Amino acid sequence: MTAIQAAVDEIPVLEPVRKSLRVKTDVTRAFRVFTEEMDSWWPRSHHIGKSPMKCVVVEARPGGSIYTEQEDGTACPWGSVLQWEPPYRFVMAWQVSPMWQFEPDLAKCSEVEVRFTPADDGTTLVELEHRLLERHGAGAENMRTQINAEGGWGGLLAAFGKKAAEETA
Amino acid sequence: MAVGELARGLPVSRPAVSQHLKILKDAELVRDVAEGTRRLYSLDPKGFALLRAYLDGFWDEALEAFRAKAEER
Repeated sequence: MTAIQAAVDEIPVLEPVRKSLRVKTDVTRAFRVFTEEMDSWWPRSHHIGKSPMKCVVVEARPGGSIYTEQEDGTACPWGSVLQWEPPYRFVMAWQVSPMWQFEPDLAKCSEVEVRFTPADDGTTLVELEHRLLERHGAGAENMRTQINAEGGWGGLLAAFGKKAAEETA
Repeated sequence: MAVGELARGLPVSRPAVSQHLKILKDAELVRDVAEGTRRLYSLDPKGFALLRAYLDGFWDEALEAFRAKAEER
């Protein structure tokens, strides 16, 4: 056990990130667009490949892989489907380490749960919870450095994109 | 947790653990409090709060993009 791991055992639980929004579409479409059609809306700056991302793929089944395909022909896994309950609920493991690398050990990964609740007026309430963030543990140091260096989230996204581009060059 | 506890079972010396903890403290990943003659270390939640803040902002952006796509006719 490293000193960091020992200390992680003592970390206070972090409050999950929670979001909710109402979308003007039915629950079946909302679930499908979020999951199987994730590629249609996923921000292009968010991937952990070494070349620009071509598309993001969600394998529509429990245990399915979530990965991006890159322009250099590689596939970059960054998540797994933990629960698949169309069209109401979807839980995935967020397998991105704070070092921006794939984390194969699910015990060191956070989880994203998305719930879809239909309303009588044909709209859908979408509730997202990104939880167990403390599992990302010690690598948060790297993320902290990047955030501070570029000043805020927008800067981080720019830095992230630039880093991905640099690694291609 | 005290340095001695952390050092136990680690393949490095106690001074090395102290040095490691100093780096972690400078990075605001751990914090320490004095208890008598020893120092007790625990994780500093600030580093993790930044990870959380980053994801909070990311999901705002991503969910707006999702909404636009889901509501397309």
